[in-house]
Amino acid sequence: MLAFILLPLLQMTFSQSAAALLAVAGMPDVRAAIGLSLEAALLASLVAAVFGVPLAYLLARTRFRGRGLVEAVVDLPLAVPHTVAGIALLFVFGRTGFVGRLAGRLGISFWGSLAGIVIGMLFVSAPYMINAARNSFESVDRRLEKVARTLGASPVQVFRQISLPLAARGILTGLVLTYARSVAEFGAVILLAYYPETAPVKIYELFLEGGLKQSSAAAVLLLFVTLSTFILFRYLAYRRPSRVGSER
Amino acid sequence: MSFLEIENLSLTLHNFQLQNISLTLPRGKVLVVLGPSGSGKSVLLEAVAGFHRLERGSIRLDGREITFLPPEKRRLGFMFQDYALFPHRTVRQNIAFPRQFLRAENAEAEGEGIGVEQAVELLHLTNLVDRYPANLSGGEKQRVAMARALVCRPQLFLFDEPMSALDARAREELRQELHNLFRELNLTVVYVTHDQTEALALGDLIAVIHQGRLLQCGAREEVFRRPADPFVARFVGMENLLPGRVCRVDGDVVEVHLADMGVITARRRDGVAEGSEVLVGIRPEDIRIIPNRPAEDIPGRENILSAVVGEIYPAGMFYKVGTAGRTPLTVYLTGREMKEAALERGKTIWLGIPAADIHLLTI
Repeated sequence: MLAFILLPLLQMTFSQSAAALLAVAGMPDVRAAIGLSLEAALLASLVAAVFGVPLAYLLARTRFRGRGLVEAVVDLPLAVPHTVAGIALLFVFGRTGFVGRLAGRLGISFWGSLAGIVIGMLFVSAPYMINAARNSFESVDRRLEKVARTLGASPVQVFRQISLPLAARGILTGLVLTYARSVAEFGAVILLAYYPETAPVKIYELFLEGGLKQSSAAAVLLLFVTLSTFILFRYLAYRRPSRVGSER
Repeated sequence: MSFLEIENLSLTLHNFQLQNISLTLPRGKVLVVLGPSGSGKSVLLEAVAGFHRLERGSIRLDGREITFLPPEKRRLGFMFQDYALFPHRTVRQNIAFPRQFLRAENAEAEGEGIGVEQAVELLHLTNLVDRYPANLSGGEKQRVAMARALVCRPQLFLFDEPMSALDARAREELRQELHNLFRELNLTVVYVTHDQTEALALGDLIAVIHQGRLLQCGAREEVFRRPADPFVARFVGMENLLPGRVCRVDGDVVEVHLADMGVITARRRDGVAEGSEVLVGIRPEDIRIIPNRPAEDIPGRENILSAVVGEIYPAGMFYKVGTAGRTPLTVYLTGREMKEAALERGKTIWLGIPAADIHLLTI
């Protein structure tokens, strides 16, 4: 299984000549596409965190009717084909969609814009954020939260000072996964915004125009950039809480 | 009016119910809530702390109605089983945690109260303030949790089975430490446990709970020596419960006929009349061994019964001696008493049971 994952990636990487890589890296539109991918993915991850973490906390800590249904809804994007997700999003965020029209009055368009790319990424990657954060909150000892209440903290203060820091590791993991999933997204993004081109879209375009050679060089470049940011975020995510972790 | 007053407290939690619990506790006293696991004692404690909504009833603390207050407004110190120290904060940060929530009005009303440094000193934590909880022993954790709670200036301390995860030795040490702390700081405490030894060691008052109902609440001696029903009797270690019938009531003295042990005398108790069926309760440590045939027993003072030694079982600090026969008795003896009486299986001995130590349960 590991070989199945690694072999194609390694084969592709090592079949590139340095010259071809440099040539692709020198293309301004490729560089712009990669930059846009990273920017949009970062935004999508942050939005997912801002809205997903509170939801995750509610799912981890409260019992309410229909909780199972909410959990199923959270997982839904994992099961929806991404092109389908893109089309569905157009119905709401497109120029004639409900949100699209409202946003249009404020001068924001989700069609062919950074906002559109972020929306597409957010839809497909939000479950990773919510599920990772929920698991993390569930693993926080309830008694710590209870004791904090008896010591005078309100529920909001307990969340900020106890639950959130103790769940930080899982939340960061969720953030990294969300980011990685967002960078990789193609289907939903291409339907909402073919232009401006994100890196996967650009690579697809190169593949259609110039075949395997040029597109694979760009692919390796994207792989390289995303992997290094992924590794950097992972490092940042796992480094800090190890102080607490090592003492458990 | 008592310091803590719980009146007709009822609540339902999933499939569990607490029914009509009423308890009172004077300031500076320790109430031990004793019950088997699943009896509802922890639910009761969490209800007092404000984690469960009551269906009926009220809770008053120092004349203040707290029934509907959220936990953070009740001014209680809650001590969980492993003390629930915040793992991401140092000992000092743990102890200082409640500081930020203290309101100015409270601080004024209560004078200066107790500061972080004072709490650290009081509980001998000076050398530990920069450690993380994971690097503390059980006793140290307990002290940190106490210090943290004290900074909050609670009016009432609640302990939820603090010792149940510890080994016997640590338990003994912590029990003693807690005992001293309670007295030293004159704390008012509700302490939940399933362990009668802890109840004896720490409780001024004892409440026994079973299946969500309060079976008995009273002074420690009262509950241990005069349990209200057979369940309480067994739970507080009154191991000998023998069915009998009252055959004579004479002033202060009652004669009870036991199935195959003849007649024994006990002190009179309310509700006991000639002819009533009773359970005769005797604590195993109240029976003494008489190696040689003594003179006649003194009616109304001490009962002398002959018995044959059955099983001898070493139970830690003492020996548990059973007698043979249809209604066996259990007697606790020290090693020294064992040696002096030269007990062995099958030997005939005499047992001395003071009439005042016999408790009659009406059934």
